[in-house]
Amino acid sequence: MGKDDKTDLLQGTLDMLILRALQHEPMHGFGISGRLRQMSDEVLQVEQGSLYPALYRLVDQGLIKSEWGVSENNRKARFYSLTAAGRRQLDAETANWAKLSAAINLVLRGA
Amino acid sequence: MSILRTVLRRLRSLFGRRRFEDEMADEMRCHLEMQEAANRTAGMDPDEARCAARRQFGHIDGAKEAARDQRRLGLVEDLARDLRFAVRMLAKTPGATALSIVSIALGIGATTALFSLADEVLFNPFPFPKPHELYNVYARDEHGRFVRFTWRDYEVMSQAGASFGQLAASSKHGFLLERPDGEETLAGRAVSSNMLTLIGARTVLGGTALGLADGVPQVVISHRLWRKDFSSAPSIVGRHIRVNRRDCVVSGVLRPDYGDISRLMVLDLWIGAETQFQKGQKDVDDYEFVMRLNPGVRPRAVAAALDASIRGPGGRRPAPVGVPGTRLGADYSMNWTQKAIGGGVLLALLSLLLFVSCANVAQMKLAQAEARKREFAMRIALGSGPWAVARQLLIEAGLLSTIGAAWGVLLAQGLLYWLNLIINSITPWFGLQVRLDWDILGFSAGATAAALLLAGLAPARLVMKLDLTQVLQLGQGTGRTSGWLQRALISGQTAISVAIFGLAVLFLQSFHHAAAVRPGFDPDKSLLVMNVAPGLGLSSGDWANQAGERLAALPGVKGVAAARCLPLTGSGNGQRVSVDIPGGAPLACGVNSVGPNYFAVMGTRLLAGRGFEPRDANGGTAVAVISRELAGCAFGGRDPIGEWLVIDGQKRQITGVTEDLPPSANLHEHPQPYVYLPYEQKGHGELVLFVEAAQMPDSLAPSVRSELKRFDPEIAFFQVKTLRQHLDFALFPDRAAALVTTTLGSLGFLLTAAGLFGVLQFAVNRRTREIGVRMALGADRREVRWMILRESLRTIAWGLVLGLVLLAMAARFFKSAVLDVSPLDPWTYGISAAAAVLVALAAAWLPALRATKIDPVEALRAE
Repeated sequence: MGKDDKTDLLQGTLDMLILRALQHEPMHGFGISGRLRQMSDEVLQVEQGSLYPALYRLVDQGLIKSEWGVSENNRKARFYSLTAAGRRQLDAETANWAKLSAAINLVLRGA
Repeated sequence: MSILRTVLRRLRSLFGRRRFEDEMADEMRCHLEMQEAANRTAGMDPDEARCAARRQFGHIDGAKEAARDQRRLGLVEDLARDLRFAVRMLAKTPGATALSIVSIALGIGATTALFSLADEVLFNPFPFPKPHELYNVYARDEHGRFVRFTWRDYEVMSQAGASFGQLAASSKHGFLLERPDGEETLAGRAVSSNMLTLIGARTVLGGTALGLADGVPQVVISHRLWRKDFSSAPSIVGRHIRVNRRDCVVSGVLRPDYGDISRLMVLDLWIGAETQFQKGQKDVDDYEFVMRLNPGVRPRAVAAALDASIRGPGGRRPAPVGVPGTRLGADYSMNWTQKAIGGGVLLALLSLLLFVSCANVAQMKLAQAEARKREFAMRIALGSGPWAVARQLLIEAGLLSTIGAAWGVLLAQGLLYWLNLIINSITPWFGLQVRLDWDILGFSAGATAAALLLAGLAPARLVMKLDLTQVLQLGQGTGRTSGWLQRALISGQTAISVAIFGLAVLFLQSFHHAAAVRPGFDPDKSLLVMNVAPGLGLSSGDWANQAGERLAALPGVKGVAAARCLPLTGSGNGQRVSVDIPGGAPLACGVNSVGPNYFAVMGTRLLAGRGFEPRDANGGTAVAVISRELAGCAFGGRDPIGEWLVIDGQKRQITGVTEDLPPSANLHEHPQPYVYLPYEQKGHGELVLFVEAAQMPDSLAPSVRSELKRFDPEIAFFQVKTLRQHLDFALFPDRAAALVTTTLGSLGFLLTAAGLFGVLQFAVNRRTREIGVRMALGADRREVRWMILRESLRTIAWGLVLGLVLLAMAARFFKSAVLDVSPLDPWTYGISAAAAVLVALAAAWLPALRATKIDPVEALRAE
């Protein structure tokens, strides 16, 4: 997989991916960046640094919350988890996305 | 998410910035370490692992900056920054800032305090239910003067008016309340028993019954007295207290808002008049009447019916033709027209005062904006939008007005405290408690803020119109001195200051005239004046003689005299006698009964004949001393000494003629005919003792008191004061008017001077180059100085003219309040104009001096 495959990530998409990554358990920033790569089969490569502004934005919007804790390697790390609002947002966006991508698929295949 | 939460979070982000930075750095370092560890696990060597981690993370500072941007909450943060900048800018010109704050504080403080007072005194509604049904009853005697009613009048009138409504009578008195530690003089009213129910007074405890309970007179006391003397004891109702040395029983305590039926007054005791009668008291004319009309009854008809009942055979003589004999005054209902007009006048005055203080600040802002043009141009050139610059100016204005308003509130509170003290010290009858009126405070603070914002906006407009390159290149303003707005502001300020200052000159002259009025005695005598009620069973003439002898023996006492009443008091002086004028209508004259030493001790001038002597006492020839006015009325040019006059039906020989005296406490009134009768021949009850002291009369008071107490253990003192204090009371209205207008006028001029100074100072700064050129071309320093002074005079010229016109209008309006000064008094106008010119010159002096110090070479090279 080369650099050319790297897709530009729209801001909204990144937000949704983060919410999705946090769906099952709280994670720290490093963990989230790993999960993002993993979830997209390495297609979506987020530059790790740009993850943080997005995280802070989501915290500000009240969709996720953060807490200082200890990582699996006994390091101090900040863990992020979904808030109730975040979970609702994720559901809504997932539904939206499903509709939108279905529509796009239809358009592209039909052509 | 709610807007509130957003704002809160963003506000928090303003203050938690350092913590945010630390945590962000921690978190990112942590991330790098984890990546590095992961890379090592994947088989990289340590150095390579660290570099790879860095690469994978991307630009750390870029990420941090992006995160910061995320949090920035535009407006709030900008505001905070503007605020910090505003504080710095204000601190940069501490003089102008201080002046602005002082102006605003004075404007807001003074107006709020004065108008809270006016509002309380004029507009505060009475707490009585259905006040529009309540009327005061006024009647005039056959000479057109207002009369006080007798109890007989009450009986007759309440019968005549029974079908129209109910009448109640009351009379203000001092009462003696016995307390464990001595006696206390209280102000109260002796009233008809229906009085309190009629006005609708409500109680916190008990009722308003004022009859006899098991033969004991009932009293109702004020909330103030209950709190002060009975420590708010709930058991007060039914308790026996001693009033005027008689047992009374308390039937109720009034609510705190029931002070009296007159404004400002707080009376402590209400007692049934009928329970207090002693022989002959039904004829004492000491009562005021208040009437509650049945709904739908016309006051005019009632007044006619009441009037008819007291006139005619056996009653009073009719009032002169053309004068309404009896009138009902709707003094308790709040007349809306009156209120609207009064309120409008108040607001207009308030706005004028505020205008002066605001104009000053606006002035300063405008001048500064001129000077700061370059700064604004620079900021706009560097990319900040005009709105950002305008916002900056608005914030500075807002900050100034907030600080000024805060000081203004403090000032207003202090002023009100002081005003309450002063007014209540006039007489113990007053119980004024003016509080800060928050509506008025809101109005003045709002007006100030609005004025400041406008003033702030004017420079902003200037900014919008700026031709940047021109301003940046020239660095100095154009030659024009000040805009029309500044001129208008200064003219307005000057006009108002001149008008108020002119009034001050008017009132000061009036005060001096009033102070120079000889009130029928020598105002410079050092006398102790005491109202006393003798307790011994002596006739009051004997009592006065014996007490006088004992007091005269005290060290430091030069002389003692007694009289029935104290000159220059409204009520005690209300006594009248009827004097038959040979060949004319009988004349109602003021009267006093005085002891033998009275004229000597008081320093009353005898213009002819002699005063009273001990031989004029009971049994001798009936005599009288008359005032010059009466001598003129009765005898024309003839010598009255030895002539006879019929006074209240008794023939008396005139032994002397004294100087004239004003008829009441009002020094402005013209003298009226007056009669002195010897004390021993006519006199009873309370009396006034005058003790002349060799030195300070104050210091004599304790020894005089204890000597009198030894002589008569039952004596009651109602009032002990010096003659000076008594005179000050009579002079109070004149003094207050002079004081208030002088203060306001000086304040106005001070503020005008400050504003003018600011404007001229900036003008000189800006014209440094022009002045330099002039001086280089040969203008000498005197010419330059005169140029600045002339400019100052020109600036105020229109304001001065307008101010004199305003003054003429105001002087006409206050014509009746001023003693012996014409509304067109040339001195008043001359002094006010001269003061304005002086102020203009004084304000211009420093800027002018500064202009002359400009070094032409420096000024030209500075560019």
